[in-house]
Amino acid sequence: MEPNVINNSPEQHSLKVTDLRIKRGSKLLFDGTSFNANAGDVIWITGSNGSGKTSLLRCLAGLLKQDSGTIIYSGNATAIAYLGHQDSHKNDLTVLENLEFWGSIYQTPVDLEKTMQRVDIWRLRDLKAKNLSAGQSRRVALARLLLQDANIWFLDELAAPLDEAGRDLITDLTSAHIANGGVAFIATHTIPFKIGNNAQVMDLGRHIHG
Amino acid sequence: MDRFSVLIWRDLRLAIRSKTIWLQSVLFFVIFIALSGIAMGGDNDSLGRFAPALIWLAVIFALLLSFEGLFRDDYQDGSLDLLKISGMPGSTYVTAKATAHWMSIVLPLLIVLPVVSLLLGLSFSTYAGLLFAILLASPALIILGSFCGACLVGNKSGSMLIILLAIPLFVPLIIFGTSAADSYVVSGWNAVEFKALLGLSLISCAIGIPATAAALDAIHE
Repeated sequence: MEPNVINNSPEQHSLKVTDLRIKRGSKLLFDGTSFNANAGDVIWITGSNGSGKTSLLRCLAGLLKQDSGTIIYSGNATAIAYLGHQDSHKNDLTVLENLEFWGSIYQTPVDLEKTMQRVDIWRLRDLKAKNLSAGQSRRVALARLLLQDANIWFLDELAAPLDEAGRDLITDLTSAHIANGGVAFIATHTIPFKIGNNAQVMDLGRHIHG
Repeated sequence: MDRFSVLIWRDLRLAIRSKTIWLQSVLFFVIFIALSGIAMGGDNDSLGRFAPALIWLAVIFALLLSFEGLFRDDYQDGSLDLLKISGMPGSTYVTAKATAHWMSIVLPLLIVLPVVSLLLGLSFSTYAGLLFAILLASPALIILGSFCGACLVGNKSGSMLIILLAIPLFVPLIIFGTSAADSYVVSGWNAVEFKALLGLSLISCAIGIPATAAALDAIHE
């Protein structure tokens, strides 16, 4: 099939994917998919259930091995962050303890308290993670994402449990992220909207092979 | 704190708060011994003769039940993915998890061991030999069990398969471990069984840690 080139600008690439082929079980999800992502890009990944949005993100994040093709990170795209369907909090730890743990794992200079205030969860800091609502839990996951201080974000169905304010928050955070030269891949069921100047849509509906 | 100790501290805190992990092993251990005592008629002579073997079996079974949960939570809630992305080496993760597991499972068993030894009427020297044998064998027990747990993480019938996979690996440890207690009474610290157990533990760590990390990595393929 024709390689799907969604961005071919000549500037320094942060992420270059060539001839990607991903198979899950007997189902071929991608074959010959190529694209580049540059600093400041927001790439929306849309498509029906089972079209491979999560597989693509997991593959780009290094959590799933591709059958063939190359994924090359270049420039200053060293750190990647992945926020999947799960929030990955430990239920018996408080919000603060959970985030302190990840802060120590990531070892970035990001200020924990400021980050928590930014996503409006500082007041929840002493609550056990099991007592959080789905939306609050997602916000804690967002705080963890910020703690990671990564160049490239892979966000999978991030907004699903969030309210209106939460969705606005994601838009704000993503805008700030790409303004700093970051890249964001966002998989979604809903209709993508414009964030920054380089928002693109990659529709996986067209990529399904039986 | 470095990432290694942070991970151990998190797991210990979780173990203390949830209680089920260590309490289940300790209860199983004590109940196993108490029931064995009853089943053998409470006769001090035969109890004393079989006590080291009984204690070893109790330790093995208490541990076997615990390996299923070792990597399960991190796998199911996605923490394993995040730790991999964070660039933490697999062997660091495995070593930290195994160390925390040792502290939350083996340590409580060692703490109740004197009580259990009294129940079975063990002499002090047999108890000391047994304690030393379990201490020396425990790194091997934990790492081999971690490997089995990592191979079967996410598998629905994992708990049963982990036991089947781990038992053959544990057999040499049981053989040397049970005879170590008796040998200690005769030849003290120089008993050859202790050297064998130490050797088995060192080999298990050298091979088991990278193997466990590789097994966890293979989930992503």
